[in-house]
Amino acid sequence: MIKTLQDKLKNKEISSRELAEEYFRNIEKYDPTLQAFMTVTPERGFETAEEIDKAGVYEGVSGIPMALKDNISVKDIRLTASSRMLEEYISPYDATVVKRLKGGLLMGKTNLDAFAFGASTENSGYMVTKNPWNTKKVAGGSSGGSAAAVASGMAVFALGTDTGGSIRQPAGFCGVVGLKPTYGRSSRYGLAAMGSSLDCPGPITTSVEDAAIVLQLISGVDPMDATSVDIQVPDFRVFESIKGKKAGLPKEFFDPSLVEGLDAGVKEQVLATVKRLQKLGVEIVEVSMPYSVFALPVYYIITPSEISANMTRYDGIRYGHTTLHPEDLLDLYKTSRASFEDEVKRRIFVGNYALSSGYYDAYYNKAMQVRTLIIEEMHKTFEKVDFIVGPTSPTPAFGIGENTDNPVSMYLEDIYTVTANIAGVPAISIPCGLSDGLPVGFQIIAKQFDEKTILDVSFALEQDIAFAKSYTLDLTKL
Amino acid sequence: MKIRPIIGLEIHVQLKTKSKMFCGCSAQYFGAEPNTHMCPVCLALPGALPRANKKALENAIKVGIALHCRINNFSKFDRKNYMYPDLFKGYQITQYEIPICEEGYVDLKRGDGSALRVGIIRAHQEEDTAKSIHEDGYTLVDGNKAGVPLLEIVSAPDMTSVEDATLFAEYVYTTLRFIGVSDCDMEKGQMRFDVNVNVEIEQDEKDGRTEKIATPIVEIKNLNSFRSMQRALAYEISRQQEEYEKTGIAFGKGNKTTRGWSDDKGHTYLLRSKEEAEDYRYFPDPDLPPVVFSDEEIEQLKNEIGKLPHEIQQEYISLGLNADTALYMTSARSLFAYFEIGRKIYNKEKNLANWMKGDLAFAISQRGLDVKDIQKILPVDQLVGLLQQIDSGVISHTAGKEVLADMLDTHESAESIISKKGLAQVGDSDEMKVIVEKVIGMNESAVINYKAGKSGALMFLVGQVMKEMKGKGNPAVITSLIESILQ
Repeated sequence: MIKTLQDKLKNKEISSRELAEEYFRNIEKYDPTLQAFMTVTPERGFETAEEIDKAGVYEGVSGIPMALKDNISVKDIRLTASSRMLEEYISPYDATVVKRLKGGLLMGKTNLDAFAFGASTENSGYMVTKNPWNTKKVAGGSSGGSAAAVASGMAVFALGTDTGGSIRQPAGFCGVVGLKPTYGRSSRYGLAAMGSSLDCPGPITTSVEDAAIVLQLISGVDPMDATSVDIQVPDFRVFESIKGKKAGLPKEFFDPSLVEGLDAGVKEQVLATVKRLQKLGVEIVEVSMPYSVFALPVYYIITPSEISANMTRYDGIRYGHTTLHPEDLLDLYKTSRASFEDEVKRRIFVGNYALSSGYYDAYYNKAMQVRTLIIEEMHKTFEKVDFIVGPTSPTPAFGIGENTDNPVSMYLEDIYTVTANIAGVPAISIPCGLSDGLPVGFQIIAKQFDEKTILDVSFALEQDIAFAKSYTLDLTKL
Repeated sequence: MKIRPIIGLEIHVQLKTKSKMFCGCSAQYFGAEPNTHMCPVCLALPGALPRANKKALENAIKVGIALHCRINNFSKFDRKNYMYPDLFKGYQITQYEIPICEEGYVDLKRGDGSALRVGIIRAHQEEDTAKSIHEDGYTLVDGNKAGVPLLEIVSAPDMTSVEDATLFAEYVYTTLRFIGVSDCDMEKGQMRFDVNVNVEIEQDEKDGRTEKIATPIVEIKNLNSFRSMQRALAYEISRQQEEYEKTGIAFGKGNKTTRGWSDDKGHTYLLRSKEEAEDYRYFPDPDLPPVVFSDEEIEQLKNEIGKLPHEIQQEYISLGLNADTALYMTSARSLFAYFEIGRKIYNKEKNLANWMKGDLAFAISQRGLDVKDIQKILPVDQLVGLLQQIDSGVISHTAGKEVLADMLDTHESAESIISKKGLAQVGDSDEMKVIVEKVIGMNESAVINYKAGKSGALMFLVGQVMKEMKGKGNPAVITSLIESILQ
């Protein structure tokens, strides 16, 4: 879609300004129902559009309407992370990924679970983003706002962040493409930190090609992020045949004794997609990854631990929710941090507990050891196969409020996605069909820095499935 | 009753670098407008990430080498979690599990000549906090200092007196300044001490046995000068004895307390007991990759350091310098460099050193100048020129002092000042002979004393001649002249 639009821009069939107008109109039409945007930024969007139209140079994503998850810093724009804590915080600097998307027309900042803690945007301190396919259902999370915005044409593409599945799961729920790159492939500088050893920014798009275009731009080492890796970035935008490749299908993914509640419709669509791979000349190999089932508990120790430290900077002293007349320091902290949403508080508690003296070895240290085993298992699996496939989530989009009473059932949403984060490898979710009228995500995981294989496979499947042609999203009801 | 203090030191040193430990802000914050050396990283804005300052780590390694530590090729950063307004991130980045330097020692010599070896447990890289200023019931925070590279050097509890602790602290001070990793300016907070101290008390029991107990360990925090460290230690040593006599509470697991020091009141005060000790919930910082230095890189840093102060001091003492003068030569890199060049062009090292430490140092400080600029103030070849004039008898030592002062003020050479002022001494001339004979004639009793073998008499006569000659005479020449006449 990016390429087509840029061709039109080059041929003067349309101007950036007109494009921006069209997308801002869509936001006016759909967002009151979908509630995908925390902040809409027409001033910034039109300003960039005019610059682009004047310069007449179309490269990267210049002239293309985009949305950014609201945990990504944009200079002089409010950054809430969808938490009441940061209701009035304006970022004074650009995240590296924002700099790299120079020329993109910023439509706005999208809703998320506060600080990206959640899988449905129901933990947002402001609102729940609705699924464009069915507004009684969640859009997924935490990048639910970004996924809903792209699915409903309020942005051509968006950036999300993925710590345990937060790009892939909402992309799956909303029937769009969501790519989590390798940890270290794209810079985290400027992303409000969640789980620092897992966080990854990545694209949410309507096509595999668009995902490749955006990934191309945001990839590469960044001196501002010491964990970004200086490794060659291949050209992701050229797709190669996948004939003769080997795909691994982990048997644990479909073992009801290990994974509870895999939806029958999801299973059917995923297995049908595996058949398509065979048809495309891919050899399917059943693999066993026994440690992968521990990825979820490992994730829910490591992430809250890192979160508990990452959240301490929000103390109401330099910025954030505060009181001007505290009784004393403790009162200031209490007042300020009372603005944290329940899930934020929950994870701070869990993390502090896991790191506290006497429990460190039993929890954090043990989790790190198991993490190493999971990484090794992943390496071994990739000696046998080129990529791994499976569902993105056990179910299609669930109903709003359905999981909010039970945090653990919400945590189970991440069961298929967290492994890639724990191992630091890239993974994508592409739409592969519908179950009960809702999109089903198909996940492809590859080895570290092998986004190329993921994109090649996704592209081949995208042609074969033709999801966008087969299933059209009816937005007229919104 | 015999008492023996047991003392360990934690020395915090701000390492000299252009930028802060984890961001690009200038680390030269002293005197700057509050909160002007700040960026998203050191202000801990959402999304900001640290990146380690390699220069600071190299300095840390240099310290480790100077303190005979093992340098770890692989070390890493951890987060030390606690919440306080001057700690913006809510955690300090430090090295908990694997520090960059471990297991070193320094060898010292006490005043009485006995040897003292102080072990170094570790030296680890961390970052400084912001500065809290308490004013009118408010607390103001200045973030300029937040994130300045800080090295913590932890000694073993190997010191047994205030003198020992002072020796060790001074050794570290001199060494770090000398190798150029820190200015250690305590007035600017560049060097601070925490001390751990308790007292071993040996008592004679009635049955003739002796019993040994130790008092609970006390950590005194944030001592920011040698003097407050000495005073706090002396105070605490006697306080602990008294406390033990009163309460009988001896060292036990978990009864360590932390105390502060009030310089005004001259006493320590309780900050917190162990039960109130914080759980810092250390864990590896996921934002920073491990710190890796190869053996080659470490060797390179070793070469950059060159000789260490104590090695240089030994060498100078063997040249005939006394210990104090040798120490002075290593008190600043500039003095060492000056002396090293000087001794290449002038072979009376001891004389050069004495002039540097004596008259030149005095003249420099009198003019409010800094010895770090010594070569600019008086190029060493100029000083050597002056010394050669004295050695060859052209002017006297006394006149030399006057010439030195003029050289500093006018930047002219010794020769030109001597000739302008007519300071050249009169040699073995007829004029001198006339004066000597006159003085001998006028001081009969001194002549008698001289002939009786009283040594003071000759000195007196020389002095009288010098006086007559208004200081222009060469004492050695005068002495031999008097001796030959009186023979």
